[in-house]
Amino acid sequence: MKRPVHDLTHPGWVIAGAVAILCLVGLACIYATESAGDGWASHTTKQMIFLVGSVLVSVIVLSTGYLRVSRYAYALFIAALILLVPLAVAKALHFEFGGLIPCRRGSYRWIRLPGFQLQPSEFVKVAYILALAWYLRYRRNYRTFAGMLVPFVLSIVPLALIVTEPDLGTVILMLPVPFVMLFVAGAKKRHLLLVVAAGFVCAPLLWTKIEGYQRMRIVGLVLQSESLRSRVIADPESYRFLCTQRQASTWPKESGLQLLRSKAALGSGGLLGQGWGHGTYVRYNFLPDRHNDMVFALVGHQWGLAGCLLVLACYAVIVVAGVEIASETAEPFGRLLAVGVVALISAQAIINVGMTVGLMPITGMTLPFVSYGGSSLLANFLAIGLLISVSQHRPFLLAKKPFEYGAAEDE
Amino acid sequence: MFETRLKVVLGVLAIALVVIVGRLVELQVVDAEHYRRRAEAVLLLEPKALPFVRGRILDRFGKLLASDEPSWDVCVDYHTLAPGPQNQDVSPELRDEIDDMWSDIVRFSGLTRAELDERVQGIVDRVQRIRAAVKQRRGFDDRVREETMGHAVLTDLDDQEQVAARLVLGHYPWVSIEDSTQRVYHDATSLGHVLGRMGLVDADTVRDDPRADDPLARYLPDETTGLTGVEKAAESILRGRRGLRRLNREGEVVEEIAPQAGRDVELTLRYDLQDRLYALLDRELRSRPQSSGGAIVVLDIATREVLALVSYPAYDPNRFQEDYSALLSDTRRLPLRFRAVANHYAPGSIVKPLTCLAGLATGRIGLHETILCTGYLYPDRPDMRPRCWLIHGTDQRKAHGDVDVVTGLEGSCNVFVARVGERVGGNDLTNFFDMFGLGEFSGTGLPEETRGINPTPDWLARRNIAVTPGRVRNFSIGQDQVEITPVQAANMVAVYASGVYKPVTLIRGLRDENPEWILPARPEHWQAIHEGLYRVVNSPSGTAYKYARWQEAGYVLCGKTGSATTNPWPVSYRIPYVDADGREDTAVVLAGSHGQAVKEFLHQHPDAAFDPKRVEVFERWPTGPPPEGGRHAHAWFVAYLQKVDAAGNPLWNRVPRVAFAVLVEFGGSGGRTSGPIARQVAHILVDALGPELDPDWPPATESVG
Repeated sequence: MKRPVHDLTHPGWVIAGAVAILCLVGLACIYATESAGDGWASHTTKQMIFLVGSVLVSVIVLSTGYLRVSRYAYALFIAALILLVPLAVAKALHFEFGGLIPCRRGSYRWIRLPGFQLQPSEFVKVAYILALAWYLRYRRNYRTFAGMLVPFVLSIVPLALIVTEPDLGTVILMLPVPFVMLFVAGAKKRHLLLVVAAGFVCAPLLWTKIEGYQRMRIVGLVLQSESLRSRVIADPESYRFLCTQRQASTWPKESGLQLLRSKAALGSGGLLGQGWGHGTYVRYNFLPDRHNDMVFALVGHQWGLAGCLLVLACYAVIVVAGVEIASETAEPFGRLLAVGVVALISAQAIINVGMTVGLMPITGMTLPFVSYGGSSLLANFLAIGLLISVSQHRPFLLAKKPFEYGAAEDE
Repeated sequence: MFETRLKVVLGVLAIALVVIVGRLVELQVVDAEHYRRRAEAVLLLEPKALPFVRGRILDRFGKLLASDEPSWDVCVDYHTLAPGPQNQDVSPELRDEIDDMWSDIVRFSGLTRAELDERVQGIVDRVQRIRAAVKQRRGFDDRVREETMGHAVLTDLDDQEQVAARLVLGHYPWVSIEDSTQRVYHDATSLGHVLGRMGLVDADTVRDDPRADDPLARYLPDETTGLTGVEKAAESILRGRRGLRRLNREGEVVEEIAPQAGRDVELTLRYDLQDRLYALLDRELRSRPQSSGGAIVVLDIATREVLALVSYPAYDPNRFQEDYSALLSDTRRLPLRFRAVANHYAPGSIVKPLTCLAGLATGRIGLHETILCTGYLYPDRPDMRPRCWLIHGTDQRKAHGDVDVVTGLEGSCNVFVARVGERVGGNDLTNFFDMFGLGEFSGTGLPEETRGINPTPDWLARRNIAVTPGRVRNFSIGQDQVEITPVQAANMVAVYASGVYKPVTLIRGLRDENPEWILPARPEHWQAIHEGLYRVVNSPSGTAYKYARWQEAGYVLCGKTGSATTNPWPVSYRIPYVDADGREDTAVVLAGSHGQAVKEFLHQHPDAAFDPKRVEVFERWPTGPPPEGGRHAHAWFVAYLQKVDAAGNPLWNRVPRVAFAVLVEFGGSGGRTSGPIARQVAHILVDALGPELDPDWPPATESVG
C-alpha cells in the first residue's frame, strides 16, 4: 500500500502538517509573551529565523536521504560527543572560557556562538539514535546479554558527559529511547527486565548522589499535596526521608513555585482558555521559563483544554505516522531510525507535558517544535527530516523483514 | 514480532496520553475555578503599611507640647544593608555602586562612616533577632518579611532635605525616600524629662507586645515607641494603628484599611507655669555653681493634679540625638536625671510636721506638752546627734528651751522632734510615712518614677539594719535611710494642708481609680501643724522668716524648711588596670556610679583587665566644704498658700488650693537657699493662677429658693 509522495495522506505530509501546527502554536505563545511588553519581539524573530534554518536543514537531509547520512552515523556521534567535552571541562574547572561557555544557574550546557547559543546535548540525542540504529541494524548479538554491552557503552558515554553539565532532562530522555529501540529491535524481555531491575536497584544510590534541588524536584511531585506538606510540618521526624520541615513549609515559595504557577496557568485556562495574548501569565512574567520549558502552560492558559488537546493530538499524529513508517519500511536501519525518532519525540513531549501538569519532576526539557530554542528546534527538525526520509526511501530487500524473531528464538 | 512490539510501544504511549489528558481535565475542568483564583492572587502586590499619626501631647489648656509632623525617611533595601550570602555573588560593579551609595549617604547626612555602619548593624541585628524569634515560634529557620523590606537609614528629613536626598540618592534602585512622621516637641525644654522621647523599639518590646496578634497594631522592627516620660507612660493611648493598602499589578486598589491615629493625651500641667518656674530655677541655680540641680513640683491640693513638674537641668527633646553624648558626659549636673520624680533625697526637716502629727495622733505627745531643748538630746552627752541645729560649738544659750509642737515646728527643733519620734517608735512612724505616700509611687505613671525609701522595720530587716532608738530619732527628722522624691515631698505637704492623701495625677485618662484616705488625726492636731507651718515663715523666730516671708493678694506663704545633710556625689572613678601589653596603668573615667564607671571604662579600654572591686571614687561633687561651713546639705522648702483675711490673719477653715516643693541640690540651708525661691514661686503662682488660687473658686452659683 505504497502511497505516492504527492498524496497528502502520505505519512510524510501528515507529519509535516502536525509539525507545522506545533511550530505555529509555539510561535504564537512566544509572541504573546513579548507583545505584552513594549520591547522588540526578539524571541519571536529569532525563533522564526531558527525555524527557517531548521526547515532548510531538514530539507537538505530529505534530499540527501537518510541512507547517505547513515554512513556518517558514528562520525556524527563522535562529533557530537566532542562538542560535549569542553562543557564537561568547563564544569569541572568552573571556568567559562572567557564567556564562551556561560554558566547559568550552576550548569554549563551552552556554547556561545555569534547570535546563537548551541546546546550540544540536543544534537547528541539525534546522533545517538543514528549510531544506535547503525549498530543494531544487522546484528543479532544484542539478543544475548553480552551483546547488550555495546549499546550500553554507546549510551553511557554521552550520559556520563551530559550528567556532569548537569542536564538531568536529557539524561532522563536518554533512558527510554535506547530502551524502546532495543525492545522493538527484539532484545529479549528478560534482559530488558534485568536492566529495569538494575535501574531500580541503583535508584537509591542515585538519590543520594544528585543535588539537593534536583531531589526537591522529585519530592515536589508529592509535596503538591497540601495535606502532606502540613503533615511534614507537624511531624518532621517521620518524614525525614522526604524533606526537612523548612523545605516543606517554603516549598510553595521556593522549589515548588514554578510547578504551582504552571498548574495555575493551565488550570485558569479552563476549557477554552483566556484567549491569545490574554491572561495573567501572559501579561506578567510570573512563570519562569514560560516561553521555553513551560510553554505548554501558556498553551493551556490561552487556549484551555482545547488547545492542549490539539497539541497532544499533533504528537499522537506524529507518533502514529512514525510507527506506520517504521512498520512499512523493510530496511533495518531505517526501521530502527524511525522507531528511535518516534521514541525521542514522544518521550520529550510526555516528559515536558508531564512536568508541566505536575506528574513528573521538573527538568530542563523542551516541548519539541513548540518551545523557544534554536538547538532543540534544529535537532528535532533533523530527526523529523530523517523520519520522513525513511518514508521516502524504501529499498527493495530480498531478505525477510528484519527483527522478526520467532517465539522459539526468544528462549 | 516487530509489529507486535511496535503495538506494545503504541499502547504504552496511549496509556501515557490518557493519563495526561486525565490530569488536564482535572486541572482545567474540575479545579478550574480554584486555579483561576490562584492566577488572580498572583497579581496582588505585597500590602504596604500606611503609617498612623501618633497622638499629640497637650497641657491642661490644650497647648500643644508634642505632635507628629510630616517628614521623610531614606530607606535602603535589606539585601543591600545586610552582608548576607546573597551579597557574595554580586558583581564587582554592583559592589562598587553600593559603596558609592554609602559614600553619598555619608556626605549627605554628615554622619561618619562608623556611625552609619553602627546604625546599619543595629538594623541588621534587629532583623536577625526577629528571625530568631520567628524561628523559635515556628520551630525552623526561614527568611522573614523584614529581610525583603527597605529599612530607614536616615530619618526625620524635612521637605528641603528630602528633595536633596532624592537628587543625591534617588538613582540607586535599592534606595527609597518614604513618607514618615517626625515627633516634634514645641518649646518644651522645660518639659524635656516630662514628655520623654521616642526611640526604636527593642527586641523585648516586640516580644512582650500586648497587641502582637494584630498585624496592623504590633510593633515593626523599624518603628519607634515611647522610651521615657509621658511618651512611654501613655504609649497605649498615643499609639495608633497602621493602615494597609494592597494594590495589584494593574495599579488597582484591592484592599485598603485606613490608619487610625493615636489619641491625644492631656497632661494636668500648666505650660505657662512650668515654663516660668523652669526659668526661675535656671536663674537661681546659675548663680549657685555648687548646686548641681534642682526641682520644683506644684500640686493642686484638691485634685492632686500636677500643675508643674520642673526638673533642672533639662534638655531640648528635639535635640536629644545630637546632644546625647554631651548630656551623658556632664557627670556633675547629670541633665538626663529626671530629678522631680526619679531622684530621692533625705527629706530632712520637711518631715517634722509628719512626725509631730504622728505623735499627736497616737497620743504620744500632748497638744500643749513641752519638751526642754538644751541643744542636746542628753545634756551630758554633747557629742551625741542629733543636736539642735542652733548649736554651734558648745554655746547652750541659743537652745530652744521649752518647746511644744507649734514652736518645735517654728524653730525646727531637732531635739523636740527626735524625742517625739522616739516616743512614736519606728513601727508607727513608718506607718505614718506610708500614709503620707513615702516609699510608694506617687502616681504620675512616669516610667522614671521611683518610690523613694520608707525604712519600715521590714525594709530594714531585709537589709540587716538594726532598728535602734537612735535610728528612729534620725528618721523622725528626715535623716538616715529615709529618702523622698520631690513629687512625694509636694504630695506630703499637700497632705499637711488638707489632711487627705491622694495619689497625684499627671496624665489624664491613664488611671481608673484613685484610692484616697483621710489621715487619722483630729482637727486640733492639724490646727497645731498648720499653725507651726504658718509660724515657720511668718513668726520672727521661724526658720524661714528672714528668707521666705511673703504675703500677696490675700495669701500668705506657709511651709517648712529642710536642710538634708548629705555626702558629695561621686563624679569620676579611678580604675587601675592591666592593658593588653601587660603594662599596669590607671584610668579616670567620668561617671556618676560604680556601674556606669565600669561600663564607660570597658567602652574605652575593651582589652584591659581590671578588678571591679578596686574601682574607687576619684572625685566628688561638690569639691571642698560648703561655703557656709558645716556639712553639705540639700535645701528643701515645702509650702502652700494660705488664704488670709483683710487684717492678714490666716483663714484656717479654708483649705489651700496649691502646694509645692522646692529642692536645690547642695543648696545648704533650706531656709536661706530655697526660701527665697519659694517666695518667687508663690508670686508666680498668684500671677499665673489668679482667682483659681482662691479656696472658694469657682464661686458657687447662688441658688434662689
